[in-house]
Amino acid sequence: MAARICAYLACLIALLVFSSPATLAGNIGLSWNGSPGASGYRLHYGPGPSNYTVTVDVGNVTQTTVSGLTDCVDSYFAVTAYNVAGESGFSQEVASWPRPSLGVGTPASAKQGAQLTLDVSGSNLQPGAALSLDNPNVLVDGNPTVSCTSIGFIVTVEPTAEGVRPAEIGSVELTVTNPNGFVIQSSVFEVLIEPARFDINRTDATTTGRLDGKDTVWLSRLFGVQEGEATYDPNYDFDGNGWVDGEDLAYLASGFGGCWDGANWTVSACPAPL
Amino acid sequence: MNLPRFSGLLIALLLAATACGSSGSGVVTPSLAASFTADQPSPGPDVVSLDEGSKTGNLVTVEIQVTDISGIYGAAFDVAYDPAMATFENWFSGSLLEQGGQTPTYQVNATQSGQLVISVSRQGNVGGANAVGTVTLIRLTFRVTQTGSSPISFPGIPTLLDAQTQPQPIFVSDWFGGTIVGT
Repeated sequence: MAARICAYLACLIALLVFSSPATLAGNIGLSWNGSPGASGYRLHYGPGPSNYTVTVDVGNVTQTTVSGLTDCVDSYFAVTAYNVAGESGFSQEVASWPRPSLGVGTPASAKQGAQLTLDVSGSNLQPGAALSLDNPNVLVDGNPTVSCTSIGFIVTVEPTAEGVRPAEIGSVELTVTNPNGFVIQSSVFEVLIEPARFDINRTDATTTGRLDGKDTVWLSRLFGVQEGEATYDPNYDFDGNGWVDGEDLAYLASGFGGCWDGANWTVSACPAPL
Repeated sequence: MNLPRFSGLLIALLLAATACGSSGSGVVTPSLAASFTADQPSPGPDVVSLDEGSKTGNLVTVEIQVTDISGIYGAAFDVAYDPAMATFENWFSGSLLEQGGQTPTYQVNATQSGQLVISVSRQGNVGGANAVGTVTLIRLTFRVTQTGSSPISFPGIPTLLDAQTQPQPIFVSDWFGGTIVGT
């Protein structure tokens, strides 16, 4: 009777690996199908196939999280079920790296119009990982360079030319999908506004290089226009939110009357009063 | 001992002079009176001009007015004044670009001494306003700080703009300034 229960338990256990929450980097989540009649389960794992150096009695549950695993290498896992009659044989073995994690990006920010190499620290990032950014106007150029502890890639923050839809300012979330299916997401980078774009009326030589009423009137004329409308002009959408709105007017107002000093619009950069 | 009469008179004058400005003395401190004289008090059509608005004590409000110009969506200009003669105190809206219930955007940058950078603009896809006769665009209040006079003018290339998608300059034949006076 006891032997039949043990054999029955062993057949039904299938070990599944799932990704655990972001706070458990270097960890992994495991789940398995329950065995009828089992009063508890033991998890066995170690550095090699069938080489289990740790055994943990997890009780009568069918999932658990293991921490403290060695990064960037496979660990091997199997489960046994037990009851008063005894313990089953090992389940099917599974192997996996710990779940990946993402740290900070370097540099942490860039202005609209920039092209740069972004390096993001992390752990358990696998060669061949796919990545994507949640800002459609922050573009990844070429293939990333991936090591266990970092991922590097070239980024273009639009606009790089007049009339190109600007990247919306704010944080940018990176999604990395390892070949083993683990997915990790984290905000790694911030898009900053490029104040040089505020000088939208450059048809008049007297107003080029200064923020004044000719810029305000032009922006005001398109106030309330949304991306997709015929008159939407991305050059007026300073913050890249798809609208020519009060926030864009406020940006212009913040430098109103100022001249370009190479980084910002300031009155002190203007020539002496006419 | 009786003092000579003229000495008594001298003493009385000296006492009066030292009493000037002191409270309770009954003597009023002389103060500046501000006023403004327009270069063109009777503007013709197609003109932007300055005119005196209200005044009290050393404060005078100067009105920037537009005469007989149509289709005005916005205005962009500088106003120059002598900071040794007056200080800029405040601005107030005019009625021109508020036609039809519009709420224009007013921007006045006064950070550079002696020069104001000004913008007045309607917003969105609306038409321009029409100045029929002489209509006020914006009001500027100055405080005169010394006696004398000095000009207030429109330096650079002041511009009225129409309501095209990219607003274009409207013909203005003259931008008339004026003189601020302290007495």
